[in-house]
Amino acid sequence: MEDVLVAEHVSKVFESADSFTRFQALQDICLTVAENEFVSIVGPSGCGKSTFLSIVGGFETPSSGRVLLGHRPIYGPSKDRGFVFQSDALFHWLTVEQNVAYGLRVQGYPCTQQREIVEQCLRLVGLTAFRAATPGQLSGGMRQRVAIARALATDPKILLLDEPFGALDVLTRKKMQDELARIWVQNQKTVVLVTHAIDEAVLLSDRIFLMTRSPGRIAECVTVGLRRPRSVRDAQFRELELAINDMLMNELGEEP
Amino acid sequence: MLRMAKACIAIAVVLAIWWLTTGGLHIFTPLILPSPVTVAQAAWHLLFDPQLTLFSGGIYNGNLLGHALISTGRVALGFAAGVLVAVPLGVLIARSEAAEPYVDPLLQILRPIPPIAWTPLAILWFGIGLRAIVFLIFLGAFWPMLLNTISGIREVPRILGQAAASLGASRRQVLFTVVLPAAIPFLFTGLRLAFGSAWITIVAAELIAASEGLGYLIMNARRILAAPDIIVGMLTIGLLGLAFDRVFRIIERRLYAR
Repeated sequence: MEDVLVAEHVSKVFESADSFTRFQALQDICLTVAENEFVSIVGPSGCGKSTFLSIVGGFETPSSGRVLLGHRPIYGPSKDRGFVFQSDALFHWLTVEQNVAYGLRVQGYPCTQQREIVEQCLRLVGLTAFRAATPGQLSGGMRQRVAIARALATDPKILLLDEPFGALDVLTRKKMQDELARIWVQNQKTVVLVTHAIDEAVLLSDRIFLMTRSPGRIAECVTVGLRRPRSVRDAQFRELELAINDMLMNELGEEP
Repeated sequence: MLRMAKACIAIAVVLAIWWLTTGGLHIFTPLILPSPVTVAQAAWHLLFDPQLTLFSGGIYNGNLLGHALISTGRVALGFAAGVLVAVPLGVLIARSEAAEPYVDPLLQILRPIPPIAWTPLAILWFGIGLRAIVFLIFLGAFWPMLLNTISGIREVPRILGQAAASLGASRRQVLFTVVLPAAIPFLFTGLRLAFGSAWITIVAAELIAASEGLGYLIMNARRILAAPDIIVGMLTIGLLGLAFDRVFRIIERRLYAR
């Protein structure tokens, strides 16, 4: 399996305007993601995982190190790296359909092809009935489904998800996690998911990177060997979840 | 409905006080403050006197409708010019983070200068005539539109541009397909405020050399000692300004509902 994404010694330092305060957000992050692999980065709030994903997305530049996509270093955002934000990133003046079609529109896809792809994506996330609604009329979970459909429509090489369900209530979050698992099985895209929910990571990923904070480092990489479809009630699932939890607690120096 | 009733009550009270102090108790002489009756008569005359055609006739040089149309036309010109210059400039300034510390102080200094203070300069540059008048109105519209455009563009969340970029949009596409559409409600508020500001400027602008228009009507009325006409002119300006504002607000509400 080819490595689609490679992060080489990525570090990020935030300096205040007067260079007086220096905050090291990320230190020497190295990781790889293979094609069709679903990878998660898990860590406590503030550990820098979102910062790292922003760098991979091209919205921030690393202070040192670099990120390669398919052997080529990345410069800024591009259609190769689809991004799903935590919330409020839909174009509120466009309908669901128009949002999903946006990437295809700006990239110049012919109209018939646009319609086809939009149909497929809406069906995939189960929102065909809401194609003419505007984001304001949808619930949080539905909006995130639109965001996912929109990102998938342009068929990016890799899909980046930054705590996509963090803004949702617990029940919706669980539902969306199952949705994403189902979508991914049909799609098998290369995915990097950032989340603080360990169960989410275990449910969805092939491998999980554990990240600790101040500064953010990759502490561990855990392979999830469980067969899909996975169930939260499964004993092995629970075991793995607890083990990861303990590992994170240890790294943070807190009592498990 | 209740709001309308309250507004009517307020207007009725003011009218009553007005009448009492002038026609009723004669506290003010007709030259200082004419009674509402004479003002109503003057309004009727200015609107419907057959001797006054739309743009000419008698010492008024036209009837009320004619003057209102001319003033509106001038404001429309100045307003359009102000908006056409302010919006692209505002977009440029708002998008350039580097420009901000240079440009903002300059704007803060120039903005408080009221258009009427530009009158001598306007006459020097454009002579006495339509161009100078439109220039003052242009200034009236320009500043609110510029500042609202800048803040409107800056209000657009960065995340929208980032999302668009990750979907393959170029910088230019992000501007035209995301930033501007997202900023439309703010821009429209700017349009409304700019028009209001341009409208207020009409009297000052027509001081320069107009021989028609609502501003001219008011000034001319003083010269011929027709005090009621002054009030008619003022009320017409006020009511038209209100009407335009309402129209803008209706459209604005539709836009904000997106």
